[in-house]
Amino acid sequence: MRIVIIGAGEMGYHLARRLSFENKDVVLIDRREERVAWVQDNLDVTALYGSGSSPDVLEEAGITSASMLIAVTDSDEANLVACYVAGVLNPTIRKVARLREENYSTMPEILDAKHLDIDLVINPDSEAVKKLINVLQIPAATDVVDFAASHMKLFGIRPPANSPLFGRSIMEIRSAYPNLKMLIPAVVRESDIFIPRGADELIPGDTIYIMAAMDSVKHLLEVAEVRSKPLKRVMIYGGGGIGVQVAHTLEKNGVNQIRLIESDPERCERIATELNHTMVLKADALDEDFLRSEGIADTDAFLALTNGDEQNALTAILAKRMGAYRVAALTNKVEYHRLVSAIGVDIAINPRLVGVSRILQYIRKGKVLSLTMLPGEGVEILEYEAMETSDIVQRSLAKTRFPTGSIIGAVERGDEFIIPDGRTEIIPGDRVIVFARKEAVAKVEKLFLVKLEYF
Amino acid sequence: MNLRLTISTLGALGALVGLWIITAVPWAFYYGENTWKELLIITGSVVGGGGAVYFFFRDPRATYGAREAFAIVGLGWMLATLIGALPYMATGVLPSFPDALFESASGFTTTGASVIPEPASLPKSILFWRSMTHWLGGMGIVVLSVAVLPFLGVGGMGMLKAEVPSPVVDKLQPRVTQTARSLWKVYIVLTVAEVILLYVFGMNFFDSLCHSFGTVATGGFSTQNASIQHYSNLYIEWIITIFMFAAGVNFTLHFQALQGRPGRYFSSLEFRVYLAILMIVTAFITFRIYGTHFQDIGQAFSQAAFQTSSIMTTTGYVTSDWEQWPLDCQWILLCLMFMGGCAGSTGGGMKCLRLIVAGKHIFRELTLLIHPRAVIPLKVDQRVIPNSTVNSIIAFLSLFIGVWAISTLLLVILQVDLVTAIGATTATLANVGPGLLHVGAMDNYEWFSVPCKLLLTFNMLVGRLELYAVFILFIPDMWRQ
Repeated sequence: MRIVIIGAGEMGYHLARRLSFENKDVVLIDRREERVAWVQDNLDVTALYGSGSSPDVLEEAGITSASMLIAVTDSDEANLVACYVAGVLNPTIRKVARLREENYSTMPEILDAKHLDIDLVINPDSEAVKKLINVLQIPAATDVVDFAASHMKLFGIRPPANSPLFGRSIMEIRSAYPNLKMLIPAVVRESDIFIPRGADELIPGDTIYIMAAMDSVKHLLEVAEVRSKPLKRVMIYGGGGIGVQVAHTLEKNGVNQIRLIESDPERCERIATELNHTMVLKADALDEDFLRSEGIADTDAFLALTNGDEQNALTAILAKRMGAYRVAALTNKVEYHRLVSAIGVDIAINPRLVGVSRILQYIRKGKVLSLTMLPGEGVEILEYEAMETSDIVQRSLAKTRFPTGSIIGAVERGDEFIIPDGRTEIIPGDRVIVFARKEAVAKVEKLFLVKLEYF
Repeated sequence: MNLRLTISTLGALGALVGLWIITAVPWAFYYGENTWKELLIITGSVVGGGGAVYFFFRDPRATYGAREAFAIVGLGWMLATLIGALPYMATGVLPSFPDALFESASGFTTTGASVIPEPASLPKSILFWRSMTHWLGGMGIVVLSVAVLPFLGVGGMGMLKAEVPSPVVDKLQPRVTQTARSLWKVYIVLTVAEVILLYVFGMNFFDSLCHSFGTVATGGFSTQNASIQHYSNLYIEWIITIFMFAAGVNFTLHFQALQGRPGRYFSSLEFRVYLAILMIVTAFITFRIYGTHFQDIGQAFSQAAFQTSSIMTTTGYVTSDWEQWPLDCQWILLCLMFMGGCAGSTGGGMKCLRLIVAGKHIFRELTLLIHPRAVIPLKVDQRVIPNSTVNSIIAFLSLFIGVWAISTLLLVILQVDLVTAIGATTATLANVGPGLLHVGAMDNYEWFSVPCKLLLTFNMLVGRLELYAVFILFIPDMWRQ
């Protein structure tokens, strides 16, 4: 299967990397020579130098035999033209485009088969906003993952050091709280993520991923002794597109005290006009006096959402030290994503990673209902629907040789939700959520593989 | 400033106002009065004179700038007042010039303060002209001119802005002529509706017409000595209450409602504030006068509602002597005079919108003391009010208070007692009509000395044109060529 990717920025690069791991033929096109050379050296993909909307370059990339085009440059126009040209050269190709302009989503018919004919539009910024809002709604959460067809959610939480969850192994926790329907499929310690076994002990400082139904979250947080604090005072640093969208959504959700800090005076005026009760503050740089006078110590969430990754991380840490209850930092570089959580930022948001997840999910359409990556892309979450012909069905899990570095997080059967153990049997129609380390993904896929019908 | 253009336009405007005098003539015939001769002569000479001035000074290549617009509005109103005084003097109803001028200004500015103690004894044709001046002044003689005189199209928006009582004038239609016509259409619809209702509920046709003019223009001239109290008819009182209320609402909202968007009323902050104040004050006054002044709760309520609407919209109709009411009620009514109706209505006063903006501005200033780096745009109904507009509103309010204080002072110097002076100044500056004490609900302005009358006449014009259009005439720069 040949996939052509246009734009070797953060998104294009990471997509190419993931897809090449999965043995897809990837051709990456970019207009920057040094980027092309860098991709050639680092990834097992073909990299071409040229414009993604030029028919010659697309022909050279083998567009006529490709099954998918993914246009993820920074320019909406370049992405749209590339999709259009590719559609002319190969009418059956599937097209994915990254579009930043929000207005396209209010008029979906622009993108339908009659007009632009784009199969999937990705707006990493709005996806990131959605995710951040999801996380903020749950007290003390660092991450929330939704599953396409499931009531289940995956929460990352960072319990306080005195939480009863710490100092116990997974087995002990399970026996101490037999009524809790939950599973701990992943733990982030320092900057590493791992899938814990029964004997692994949780230690203070860990970020724990918990798989549970939405309605049991409250009980769960009580058990973990996480102080639950409603979101009332929020401070946003950075009045870019993401910052404003977040403020808008928080306003709609009824958060009554929102402060937004921006340095550019004209931009301040624009934002203040656009937003309703958010207070816009003009400040060139964040210093301690300013943060203190604006009440950082009483802030429920400080969100650093400027364009500068380093600035975001450092101000978030500063805010955390000055008493902000939860801090979030936006990163654009995927490499920073892991680091940011390791240095103490509660919530790390990376629009490109969110975007990559959405595109990967689309590529695996039909077999994988939803897919997400946890910080640092070490562990992947896959959601499958078990088919009659897959290897996994009709035998108990104990008998299935489940690949090392992977675990079944949950099984959903109709309305019922099962935290599986060795005796659990998967039957066709079940939705199964699997956590797998990167190197185990291919093996897990094989288990769920539907013979004769793959792609 | 282009003097030729200004004079020719004033000529046309004068002719237009003069032409309206003819509407009183049929009533002279109908009631067998001999005033028709004078009325016809005045119409003829004013229209002829105005037309001649227009054609003599006409300059088809000239265009209207901001100065011409202000001069035409400011001087145009003075001219209209002069023309409006002619019928009173010519027919001998008010032989003294200051009296006639006062009555005419009171009519055009929709004040409703009168120097005639017993209007019922006047010829009907003169009463009709008196109410007609209300109706013409309510929506504005310049708005009318822009609507019917096509050559005022370009530059007309400047004149509209100078005349329409609002800090922000919405252009309802792409063309200014259409905008002016739309406003007049709404105005006519309201008038016709009220005439029909009053007629159906027992007023004769002549009185329905005159009182409708007085209501939708928020004027206050009545054909009866005892104003609306004369009818002692609950239906009539409530019809007038409702139409006074409607006349105090921004006509843009009425226009949008007629276009099928009645939801706009409640999405307007100004309307909500206006309605809320009216209801709260009505409830308060009802509570205060029930049991002491009225034994029946329904009567107390309808009296309170009528007087509150009448004062707040600056109409000035009277159904009961509210000077007998508790002092707190009187004080509240005096405060409502200052406030007035909504921007873009026919009501006078400072206008709710200006006070809302001032209030928000004060709140913003206080917030800035706590958050010095905050950027806070002043928004009303999701629309940002630019700082230049905010400044101009603050200047307006200061000027209003300044004029009020100086005018009161002058009246006191002229031997008027303080309470009466405050009442008369407020009632004329806000275009209400009845004030306090000797100019209260049951009194009139006949007894004032000539200098007082001229001062109050000036107040009325200044109040109706929202200060700027008159005071700008005193700025020397205005008159440079």
